[in-house]
Amino acid sequence: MRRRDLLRMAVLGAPALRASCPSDYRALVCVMMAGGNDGNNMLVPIASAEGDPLISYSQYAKARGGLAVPLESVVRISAGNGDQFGLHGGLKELGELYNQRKNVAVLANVGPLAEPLTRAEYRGGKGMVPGGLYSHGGQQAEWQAMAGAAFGGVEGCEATEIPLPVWLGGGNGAGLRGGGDSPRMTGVTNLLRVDDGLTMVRGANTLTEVGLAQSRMLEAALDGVEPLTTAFPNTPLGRQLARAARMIQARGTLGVKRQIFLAAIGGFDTHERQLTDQAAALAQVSGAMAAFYQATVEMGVGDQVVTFTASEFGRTLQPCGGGTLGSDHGWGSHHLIVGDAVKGGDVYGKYPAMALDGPDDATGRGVWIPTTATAQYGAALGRWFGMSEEALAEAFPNFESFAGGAPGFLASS
Amino acid sequence: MSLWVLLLATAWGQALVTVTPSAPVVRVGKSVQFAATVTGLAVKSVRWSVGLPVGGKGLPGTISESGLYTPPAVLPVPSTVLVTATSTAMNVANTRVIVSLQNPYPVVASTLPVWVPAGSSTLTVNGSGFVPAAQVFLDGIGVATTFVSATRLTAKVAATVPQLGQQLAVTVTNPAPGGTSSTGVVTVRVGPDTGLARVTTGAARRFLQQAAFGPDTVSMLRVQHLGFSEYLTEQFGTASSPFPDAATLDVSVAPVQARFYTNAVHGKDQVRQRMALALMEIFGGAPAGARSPAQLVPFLRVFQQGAFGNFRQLLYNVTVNAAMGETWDVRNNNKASADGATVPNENYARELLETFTVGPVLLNPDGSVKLNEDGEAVAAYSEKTVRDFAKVLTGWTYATRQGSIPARHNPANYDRALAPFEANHDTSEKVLLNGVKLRAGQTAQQDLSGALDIVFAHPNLAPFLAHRLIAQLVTDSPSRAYVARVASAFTKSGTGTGVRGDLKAVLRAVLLDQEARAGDAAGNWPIAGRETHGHWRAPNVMVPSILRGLEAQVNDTNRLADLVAAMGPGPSVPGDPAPPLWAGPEQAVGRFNGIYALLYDDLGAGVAIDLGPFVNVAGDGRRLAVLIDDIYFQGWMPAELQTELEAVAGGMAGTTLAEKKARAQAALYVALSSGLYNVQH
Repeated sequence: MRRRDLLRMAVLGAPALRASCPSDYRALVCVMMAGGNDGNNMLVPIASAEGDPLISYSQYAKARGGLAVPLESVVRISAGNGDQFGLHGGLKELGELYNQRKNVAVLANVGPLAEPLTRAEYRGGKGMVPGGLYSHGGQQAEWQAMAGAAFGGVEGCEATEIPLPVWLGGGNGAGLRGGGDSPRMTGVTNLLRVDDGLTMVRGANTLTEVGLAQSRMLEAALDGVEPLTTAFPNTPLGRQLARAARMIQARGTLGVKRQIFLAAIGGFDTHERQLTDQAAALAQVSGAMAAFYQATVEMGVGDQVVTFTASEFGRTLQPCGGGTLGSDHGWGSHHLIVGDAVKGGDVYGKYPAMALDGPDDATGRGVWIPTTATAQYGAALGRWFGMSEEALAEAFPNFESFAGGAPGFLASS
Repeated sequence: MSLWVLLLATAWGQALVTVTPSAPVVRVGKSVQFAATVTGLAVKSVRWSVGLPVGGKGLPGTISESGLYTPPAVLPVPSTVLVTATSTAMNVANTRVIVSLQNPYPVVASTLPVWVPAGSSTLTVNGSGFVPAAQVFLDGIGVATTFVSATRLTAKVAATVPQLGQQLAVTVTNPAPGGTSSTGVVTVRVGPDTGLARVTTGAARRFLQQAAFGPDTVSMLRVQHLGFSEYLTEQFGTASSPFPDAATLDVSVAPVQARFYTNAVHGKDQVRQRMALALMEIFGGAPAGARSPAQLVPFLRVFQQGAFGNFRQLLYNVTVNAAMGETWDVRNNNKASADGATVPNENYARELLETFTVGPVLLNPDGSVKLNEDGEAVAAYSEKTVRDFAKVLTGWTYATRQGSIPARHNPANYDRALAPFEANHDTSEKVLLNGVKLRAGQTAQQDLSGALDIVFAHPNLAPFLAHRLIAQLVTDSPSRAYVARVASAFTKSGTGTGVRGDLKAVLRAVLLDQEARAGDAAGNWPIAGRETHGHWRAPNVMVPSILRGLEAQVNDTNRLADLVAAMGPGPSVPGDPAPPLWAGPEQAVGRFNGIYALLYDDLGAGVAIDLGPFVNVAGDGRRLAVLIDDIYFQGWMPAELQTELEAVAGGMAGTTLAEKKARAQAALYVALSSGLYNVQH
């Protein structure tokens, strides 16, 4: 469905003009933590301001057993209301930004929801739930709907000013070899208009055209542009975000007003070896996102670029036992939003009670029914991006039917 | 001391060039990689050349800048050539080795006619590696033979009346040097032609796009000779191309990957390998955890050996494979801890049900979603079912090594299937699919067998697997009726052996179905009502397929795995039950660059590509386009593509050999990178 939307946008271009495209530049960068990041160990409860015993380190440690991260390893942070949390120790750089620059926000227990849903409704088989719950494919599709093709719809912008999302994980950044003017490239270009009536050939042509165009534009735009001095970690995610930074650098030459980037990092499906594997993956996220933030500052767009995390689901609070401990597929989880436009240094949303069969548990294994829908998360980002209310309503169906509407972690434009 | 002085000083010393191999014997059709060691000179590089000895007649073959020697198609007289390595520092040192050439191995692919009458007649024998003095044999008896070309001989046959109805083996022997006989089992039958299936070259090539890693000339002729059904029968009996023994390898998986591609390009068991890959993809692809040959080789063998077996057996072998167990956490999965704080791991349980066998919702026999009276889909299982399957899968660990004491978690042992350790098995009652129970107190082995029986018996399995196999081999969007026909071959109501899960019957149903074959004669796409037909070529199938079309020579030093990996998984496609998400249009660049590398790069000693047949016709843009159509488009190439290829060639000079090669490369690049080729029709 998302793919179709993409194709439709590529073919039909942006909606009809009504106003003029905003004069300022903004970008959204999604970091997809593929596999299902365990939010319980990413945002560890220490003590709630109200003294709720179910939101405490001791309750967490009891439920998690050997899978609990030690209190002394976390980066301690406070929410605006005084709740005390620990960010996973792998998130060292982002933890520092949270505490010092206050430009990192955390959104607690967010996930796909079809409509507002209570635990009683879920357990009674009553409420509507999103399709493909607990499934990698199903939930990645849900998140991609929110984090990828949904953004756009900025009133008055032409297709050239708000180009299609760039999937950073798709390529290796190498340009097209032998792509200069030649009879060969003329032939390639002409054939992008030729199909034999098969829908798949048409789809392949469209995707190829977009890919080649992106590659060509970027090469042209970066011709002669000084490389950034910000050093990126040489990791898969670091390389992807370094490429995003280069494309932002080229924004003037490209004549774009809005850009959307999708990065992805694997390694979060931690049914086993969670303590080591998640630590490594989160360290990669933190290093790359912090470097990317520095790069936006270097480019003078620190408050015009927002980077946010996504992941298909959180994981069960209750560990599963194998050679080493891990956790299974869950539902709601916590996410990070970074950038100088972020009203950071705060935890938004509602942190779940760390109890099996507790008030937030869907299945009995510590699977959190989201208290913020991905549609709300997306609407908050989209509104900052400049999407019209009509576009928000279409891209994030029913987001206003959920309590609180779009959360306020971004300064409204 | 400056470099120049150093170089002079050493150049006057004992300069020596050593070449290995020092006296090789090379067969026509194979290549040999030479290496030179330079001692006594600062510059270590050499220039390679090849020539005939004084008085020799014919062509010496070619040697690349990196020292890869390729013999000529026809032996020179005498059958030796001289390879020389000359130091590039200055022409003070060179070494020459004598290469002895041998005639190629002859291969018989087909005959025309397939039936020979009693009495005298002429038989045309097609194949490869034939040389002028080659001799045809019928059931071991030599017959008068005329050499036509390296791929064709004619023979005078005199069949007798008593031989009516018999099958006679057709073999070819090449003369010395290196004279050998063909080993295949091509037969002619004696008697009047009863109309054995006639398959056009285009139809044979198209069939092999689906059933194999694409066609080469030999396999195309073989399909034409036997017809689709008999070709499959022959392939079912063809021995597996081997994988190297993991114990002989270092820790790197590169040699195993290289062999995968050698097998894909040259293996005689094309259909087995293609089916094995399709099944492997259905089970999640090569496990991310298989980082060594010890893990990877037994895993690959499970699919190679199970490709033509029964799905129930494959399901078991996959589940207890050690590399699978490591990736999906079946091995060392603990029963719940005594205090209940830790419960069994759901990883394999969930994927087994959701993506390998049953799918999340109930299906009709034609693969459509079954709806309840409210028009809603019905879940095929619950979270509780997943948890009970996780309990079934407790108590398995690596096989105990000889002389060791079995433990709850044995040390890694990839050579053998996982083994049960009963004390770590959850023996409680489990409620599995459709409410079918496994009673309490069973062993790990009993529970696993019982659980897999329940999965195997589930009504979803036949349409689910049918759809996924069709999507792997033929089209991502089959009609419901096509899925239903293949599903019925899986259940015993099909035309197969009457045994549920017989993969041979399922594969026959996939490949011989009218919907798979409908495009053979069409020539025009789309076939009415099937606009969504087609299958996105995965790079790991497309690259071998391009190479087979080029009749390339690949050996175990190839690095095709790297080339394929850089091409990415490709865009997701409609109908694919597990699209690679977060993969976007930018990957088009990766695919283009992969095709570019195949056509323009020196791929090293592991891949030898001879564009000769394309270069030969490249002076004429139309002939070049027609050849590309024949090889890669089975004759249905749309006129627009043909016109475009002619324009590409026409826009480039095309007189000299180098110019013609550039034309051939450009036209192939344009054709093979197009959406028309990337979507298998």
